[in-house]
Amino acid sequence: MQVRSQEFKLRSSEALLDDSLRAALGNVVSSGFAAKRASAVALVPEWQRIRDEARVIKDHVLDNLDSYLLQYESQVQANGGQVHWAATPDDANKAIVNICRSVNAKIVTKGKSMVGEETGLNEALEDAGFDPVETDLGEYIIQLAEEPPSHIIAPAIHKTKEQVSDLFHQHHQQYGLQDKIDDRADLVAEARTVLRKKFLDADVGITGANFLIAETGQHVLVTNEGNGDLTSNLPKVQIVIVGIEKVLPTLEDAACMLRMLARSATGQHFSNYTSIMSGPRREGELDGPEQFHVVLVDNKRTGMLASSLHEMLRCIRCGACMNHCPVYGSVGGHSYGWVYPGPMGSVLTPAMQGLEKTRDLPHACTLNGRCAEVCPMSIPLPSLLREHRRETFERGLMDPGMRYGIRFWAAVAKRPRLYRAATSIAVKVLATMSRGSGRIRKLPLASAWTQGRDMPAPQGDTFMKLYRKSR
Amino acid sequence: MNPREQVLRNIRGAINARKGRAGNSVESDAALADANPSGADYQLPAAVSEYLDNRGNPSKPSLGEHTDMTDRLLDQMQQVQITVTRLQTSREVPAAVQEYLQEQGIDGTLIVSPALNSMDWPADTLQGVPRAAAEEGTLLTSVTPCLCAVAETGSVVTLSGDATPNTLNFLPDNHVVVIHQDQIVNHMEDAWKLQRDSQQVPRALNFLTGPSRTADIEQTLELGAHGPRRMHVLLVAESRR
Ligand code: SF4
Repeated sequence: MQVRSQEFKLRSSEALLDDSLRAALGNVVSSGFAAKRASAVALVPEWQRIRDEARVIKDHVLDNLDSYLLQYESQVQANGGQVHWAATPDDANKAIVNICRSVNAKIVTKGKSMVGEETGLNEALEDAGFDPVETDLGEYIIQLAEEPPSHIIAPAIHKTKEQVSDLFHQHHQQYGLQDKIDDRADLVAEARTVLRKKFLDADVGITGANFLIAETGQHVLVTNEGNGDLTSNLPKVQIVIVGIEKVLPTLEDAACMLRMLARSATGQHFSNYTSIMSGPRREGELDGPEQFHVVLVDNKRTGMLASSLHEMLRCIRCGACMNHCPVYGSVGGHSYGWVYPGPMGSVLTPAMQGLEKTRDLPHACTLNGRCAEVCPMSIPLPSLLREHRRETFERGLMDPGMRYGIRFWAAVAKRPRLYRAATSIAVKVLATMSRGSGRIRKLPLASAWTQGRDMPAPQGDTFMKLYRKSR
Repeated sequence: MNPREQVLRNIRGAINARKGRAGNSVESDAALADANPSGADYQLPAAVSEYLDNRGNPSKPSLGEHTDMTDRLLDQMQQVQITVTRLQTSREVPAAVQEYLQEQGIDGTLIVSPALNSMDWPADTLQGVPRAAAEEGTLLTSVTPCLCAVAETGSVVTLSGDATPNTLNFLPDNHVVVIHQDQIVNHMEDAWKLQRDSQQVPRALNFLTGPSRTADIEQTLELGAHGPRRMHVLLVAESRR
């Protein structure tokens, strides 16, 4: 998928003025993902211990990633499946297109896959003449709207019920569903009817995976709707597309992660459907796919593994960091301009797309630290963002105004006497500018800042002077 | 270099770089291609399997105030909209299914898992996989056995197999599951144990934790997204034999 993160400032300003987005994002807050998470976590006294163990497990896996992937591969083969490796998004899309061609597929159902979004799989399938159909309700809605997801677990969170009703009305008439419906339950029922036929007609089903189990060659897939299972079990070919960092040693490790995933994501104790699968239909079985394929995707993950960003590879894509992020809560997911929004997106997008096009993302952070506090995998997101900021500055990728500003400030701040003299002049000038009101409405060179708020004028003297006096 | 070799090489390079291991301990292409000749049973390096053997199992959470796991299970199930009827023996199952259908005002067709074949079902009951009936648009209620039920999560766990096609879990409109009291286990790990007891790795082990649901429209919960709209449990006191 095309990255549009260079437009972050523009898009976030637009987002702040978009009333229906404001209403929809209000749902993130009022539906209380954060509050639900807190009460679900509070019911597990061992939470911190499980969280610590999870971190140890993932770090161990990342240190031995090649071994576990090879073990997973050999177990999948033993179960009758095939493994494909993809260094680039293009490798992944090609492998999948080839499989679809080999069985003369027409309809391809898809469970939600963030890696599939990374590689632009839907476009690749369409270009090759297939008809990919998203089956997760949220993904289906944004596929009809031709938009990227705006949240990793609730992709259509920016859409209001009215917008969904319009989309369905527009796209479902081809199935003979002429009436425009407004009721939420009816909308869900209509999507069920339309997608049910797709599930049954599909030749290939593609899903992501939450975890891979090296010991047994199984993958774990978690959904609430059951769309992942219908996608996996009904078509004659099952394909799983997944990032290489998702592998775990044993089922016991998956239990540890599963205990945190749903609680962190939606505040559920457990997701509705947790399915652990491997291989095609066994001899004697009456249902299940005839072919089973897994596509293991790198796409810059090994680059992260080698770098100071390696901790990001512990991420289990729960979404807690964005649910607790004040910036995400204000500007919504689309402002981030690519597949992954929020704090995890601001770390991943520059790592996968390059800082040149994404330099604003690491700055879209107040360093308040809530994301790291709630992250079940203890990923130090603010520090990783600081890494990106450091690199942006070192490589001279920053906005020149900002870069010179910082240089200038650093030059002055390193000379205490100059600094004191400069600040005491500044205090006087700013106080005069406020004309005794205590507030400054407009500040030259900082109009972006004063457009939305007043700058408080200094009251009295500089800190150093006050400090000297009271000593 | 094919993508497989490239990815493996990148991984090894990355791990070595971060550990500050000297220069080029990355294997030659030939060694990589040999790393797992197709079909071979790959063995983890000794150091890694030793680590796994010695690390101890990850913690399990305590199961709250419940001392009786049946109570915990029923509690959890109630929270995820699974309804439950308790029975003494499995002979009561067919009648209990009829009663449930009547109570809920469900018509349509019954389809039972081949594993429950020997029970005394009404004459028009279907048996086997639900696909053909679903394609005709028949409203289905399935009845299936399970591998176990997990008190920790409130889940029913099914294992796919010759007599237990797992599309019965997902395609029908309503799903009735028979659980015997002695099939209730404490934690997820107990289900792994049962899986390991089966001969081969199963195609699918499914944890079902309530009827299908979505909150994708305005973050408001709706049941019956794609899978069953209702899930009902018949908890049988008699052991499974
Ligand atoms: S970074 Fe942490 S909180 Fe954010 S999605 Fe990943 S695991 Fe969840």
